[in-house]
Amino acid sequence: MSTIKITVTRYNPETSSEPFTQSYTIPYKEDMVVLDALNYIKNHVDGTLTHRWSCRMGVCGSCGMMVNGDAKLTCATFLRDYYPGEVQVDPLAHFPVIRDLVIDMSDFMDKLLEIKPWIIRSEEKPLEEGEYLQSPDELNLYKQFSMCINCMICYSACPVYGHDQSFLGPAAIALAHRYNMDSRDEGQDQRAEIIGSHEGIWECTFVGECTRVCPEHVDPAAAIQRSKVQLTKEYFLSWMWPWGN
Amino acid sequence: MAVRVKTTDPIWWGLFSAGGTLAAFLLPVHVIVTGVGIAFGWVSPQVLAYQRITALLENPLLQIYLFLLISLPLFHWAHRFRFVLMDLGLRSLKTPVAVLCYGVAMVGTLLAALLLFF
Amino acid sequence: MNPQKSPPEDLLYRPHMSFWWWLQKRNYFLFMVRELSAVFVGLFALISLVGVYRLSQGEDTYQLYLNALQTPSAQVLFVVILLFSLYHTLTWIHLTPMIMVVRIGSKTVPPILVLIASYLAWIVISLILFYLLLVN
Repeated sequence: MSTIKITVTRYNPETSSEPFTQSYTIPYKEDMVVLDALNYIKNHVDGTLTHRWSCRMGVCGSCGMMVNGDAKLTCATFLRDYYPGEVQVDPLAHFPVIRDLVIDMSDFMDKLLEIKPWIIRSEEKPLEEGEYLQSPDELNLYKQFSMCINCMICYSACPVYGHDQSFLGPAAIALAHRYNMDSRDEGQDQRAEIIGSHEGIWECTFVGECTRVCPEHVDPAAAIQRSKVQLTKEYFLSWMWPWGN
Repeated sequence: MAVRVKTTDPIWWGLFSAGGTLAAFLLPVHVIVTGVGIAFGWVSPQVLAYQRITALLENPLLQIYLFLLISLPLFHWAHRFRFVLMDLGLRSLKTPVAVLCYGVAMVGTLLAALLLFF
Repeated sequence: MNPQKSPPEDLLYRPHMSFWWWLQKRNYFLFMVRELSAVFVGLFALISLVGVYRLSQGEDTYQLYLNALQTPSAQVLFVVILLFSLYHTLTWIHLTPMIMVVRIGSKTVPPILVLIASYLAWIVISLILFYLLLVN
């Protein structure tokens, strides 16, 4: 039977203040993904291994980890792409580690709420007037930005966030852009205060890695730069026509 | 129009992109003309001669053009260099780095304006 | 809104970024090259500024400046500046379609057309600029 060596970064604050690595050699099958390997270890080799997962089909966004240095959804990353080489699994980069492969996502959760990712109306229309209609063209303006599954892989690919956790970051801004571009939404002013602040879009240096690593093909880098263009235009226009339009 | 952005970031980012766009479209030609062109024999030394350049700079439009060609790329440099230093981990020097970078660009702009317009 | 609860700080392990992070991936390295191209763009602006200053001091001083531009070390520097300046142009043009969404009516122009148009604009502008600088 063929086997594969999986090396996992582990961390247990009760025994040591520093992470350490541990290697496991487990049976290998061609259809196994990295998450299968971690579950095999947990179930058959070492029950103390701690990792986060749920749907194992690329929808829930829980199982993001670093696989051989790249941020991946482990449920969608096949071992055969590395076999017969070894696989190294680390917790998502740039986040504080709680235990083994489990990171603390509370910073991201706070940021997600901050940008108000829901449709904001200055005045809700009465129910009997029906739903808010939208044309396919209007839908296409924001559709790709709505595919985000909050897996935080873009954050772990972002060196700006790695240096400074006060940066609002790719997914939160992409989601803000998604609602800003929605024809039914009227919350741009409220979101502009957050994304237009110094820790919002302006810290981004357009590395572009967030877009490349996104498993759902969202383009956060574009969302951020487009927001910069829009808010900069507005800023200079408000100088030229301070009395408003 | 309501001002929704309360930081000065749009100013710096605006100057950065203006300078980047200007540099992207115009700089390679200028580097060839003032730089390597003469040595490679593509450009006649007469192109940069004193009489020709002083005559051209009588034209106020060309004065403004040369001013922008100096000033905007300086701001482009200032902004990118500032953030390169941040990306290299100099977060603790955030403010001094910003002041120094934009300061250099502003001094350069001021000198260009004094030399070209006065 | 309630802030999310984190475990106590002393139980968390906070990773630190290496200074050399930009050598760990090709994309990061190319990003760093792109950002450092600005140093050479700025350097060229500075050289031009010195030229304007020398020009204001009269013909003889300006001639010294022109002579300095032709020394081998200056020429090597100009080749480096030219390479970085071209890299800046290519990266700037390639990022344009990502940032600029061109819309005609309610339809979005495909990004590839924006890219081609940007390239064409660069070539046409360069040719015109060459003509104006060399002929007039």
